[in-house]
Amino acid sequence: MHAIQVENVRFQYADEPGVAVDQFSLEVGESVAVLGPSGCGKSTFLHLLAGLLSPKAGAIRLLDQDLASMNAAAVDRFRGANLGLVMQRLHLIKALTVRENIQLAIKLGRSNAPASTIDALLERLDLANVAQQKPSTLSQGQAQRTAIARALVNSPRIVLADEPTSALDDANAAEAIALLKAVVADSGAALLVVTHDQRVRGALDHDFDFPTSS
Amino acid sequence: MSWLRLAIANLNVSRLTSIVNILLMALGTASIVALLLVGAQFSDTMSRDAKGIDLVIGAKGSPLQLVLATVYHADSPTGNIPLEAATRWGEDRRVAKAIPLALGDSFRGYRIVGTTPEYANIYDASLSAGDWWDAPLEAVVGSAAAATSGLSVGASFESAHGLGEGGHEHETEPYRVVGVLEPTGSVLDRLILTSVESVWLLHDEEHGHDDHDGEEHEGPHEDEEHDHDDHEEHDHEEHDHEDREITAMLIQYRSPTAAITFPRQVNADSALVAAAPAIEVTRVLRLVGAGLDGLRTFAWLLIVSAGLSIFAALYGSLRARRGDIAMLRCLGATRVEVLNALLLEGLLLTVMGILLGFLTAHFAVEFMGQWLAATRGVTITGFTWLAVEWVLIGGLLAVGVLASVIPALQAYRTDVAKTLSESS
Repeated sequence: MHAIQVENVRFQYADEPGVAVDQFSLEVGESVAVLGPSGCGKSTFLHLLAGLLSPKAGAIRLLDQDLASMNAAAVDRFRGANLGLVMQRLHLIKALTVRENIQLAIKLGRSNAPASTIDALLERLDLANVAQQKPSTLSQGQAQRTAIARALVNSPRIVLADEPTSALDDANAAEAIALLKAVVADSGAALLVVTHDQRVRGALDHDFDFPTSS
Repeated sequence: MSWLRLAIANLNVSRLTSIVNILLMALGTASIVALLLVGAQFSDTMSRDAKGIDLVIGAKGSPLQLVLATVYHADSPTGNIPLEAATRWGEDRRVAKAIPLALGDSFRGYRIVGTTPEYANIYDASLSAGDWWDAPLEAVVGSAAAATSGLSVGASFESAHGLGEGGHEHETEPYRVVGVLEPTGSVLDRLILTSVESVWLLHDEEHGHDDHDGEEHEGPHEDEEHDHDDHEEHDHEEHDHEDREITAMLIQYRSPTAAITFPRQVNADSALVAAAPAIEVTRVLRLVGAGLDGLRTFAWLLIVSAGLSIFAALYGSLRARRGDIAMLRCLGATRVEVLNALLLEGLLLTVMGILLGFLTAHFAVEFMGQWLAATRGVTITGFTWLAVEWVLIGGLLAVGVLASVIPALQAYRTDVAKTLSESS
């Protein structure tokens, strides 16, 4: 089953480099690193894949469903149920605890994930001892693992990560990628990592050099 | 995790701002509710106490003072009037009921009213214990007066000169309590009723035995033109019906049309004045109402300030939370859900302010009512609910929605991709 299929997608912000991807696909259970320099439009590509933007031309199919055929609310619901997003800025809700941030993803994803799923993730990501703490008290690594737990709690079929290693040193960057690979492999989801960090090259199943538009 | 929990958590981040907003809303709400409660009950009390009394005939003076003194028992009488003249008007064919009132004495601040049992009938009063008087110096005590003074059937008490506390006691026969009234929620609850003859007897006896040391005396048998020396020349045996005086005569018309001619004819009598409680009550309520309107306007200004403060707090926090809102959308929240989340935060502040305001107002009015009941005999309670309070709640919630709607629309319109790009 195709997790992601992209055909002749075009998108252009007025004052930014555009996105022009002729063909791209990713199977369920596979992982890919989308590599390119900063500002080349690869984050915009991720936003298009997440349904946060609509392409000016071309088609994006996720899990064999065309996002263009859905209304805005349906796209939001599809995203919550099927996609897990890890952004460069983690945007953990600082008013909530680690556990509550993860619970929020369950609510917004309209998922029935039981409490045991959260417990298992907290254990797996070494967050059990900080589950009741607010994000402001976490280390960078703990905060990133919390964001990963939040992205994975609904067992999404596709995980999209935007620059997950950009703020990390070599050891932590390798650990983050390994962790993402491992937890996604466990759930059988597809993993797409958008990054300018060449340390990621070769770490996933595939590398995709993002085409820069003229 | 619910939207409510998320809203509470977000408000908790800026706890001090949230508390100030709640207090502002509570202050405005409490002010308006208290004014409504006091205003409505004041108006009700005024109307209830004057119910069934179409006209008061008393001595020349201010009609308002006459009504306040004889209907509400809240002022000094304008003087006394000859019983003969009052009776003559009371026997007019246009009059259905004429009830004499003789004031002048009190017991521990509770006025002793010389009258007939017909006076109690105006307020649909019934006895909770004992019987009506059938001899001079027998008294029936109103419920509040009995409860506070401890008077019960069989008890005796000595009345004091004057209508307030502090008058010197009559050195004559004491009154004997023969009955206690059920509560009526009217002025009757804080009065002590007796026969007019009791008041006459007490003052006649006193003037027979006492030279009064020149003290002012308000007894209804007196002519204000006379001094006490003149009275000493009288012996109570010499009083015949023509010499007797009362404080006022309460009149109930046989037909409303009597109001057109009857008061005018009474006023033509040089010694008497006729005052219609309905007209005087309206005048008082108009005066009080103007003051209440001013206070109410001020309270609404407080509420508008609270609304603006909530708006500023939400708008300010929204700027700091744009990334969080973008992330909510990434996690699957729809635009409408994000809009509702912001509205919920504003409404939560408003509802907590309203709740605190209503509780404060009702308890404050109740405490004030208890104090007024103990010290002024005025019956006001905070433990009541006015229909208009539902309307007020609707209005206050509307203020909360208006205060939140612009920040909520901003959240609704958040460009998620742009926000995420800007913050990355």
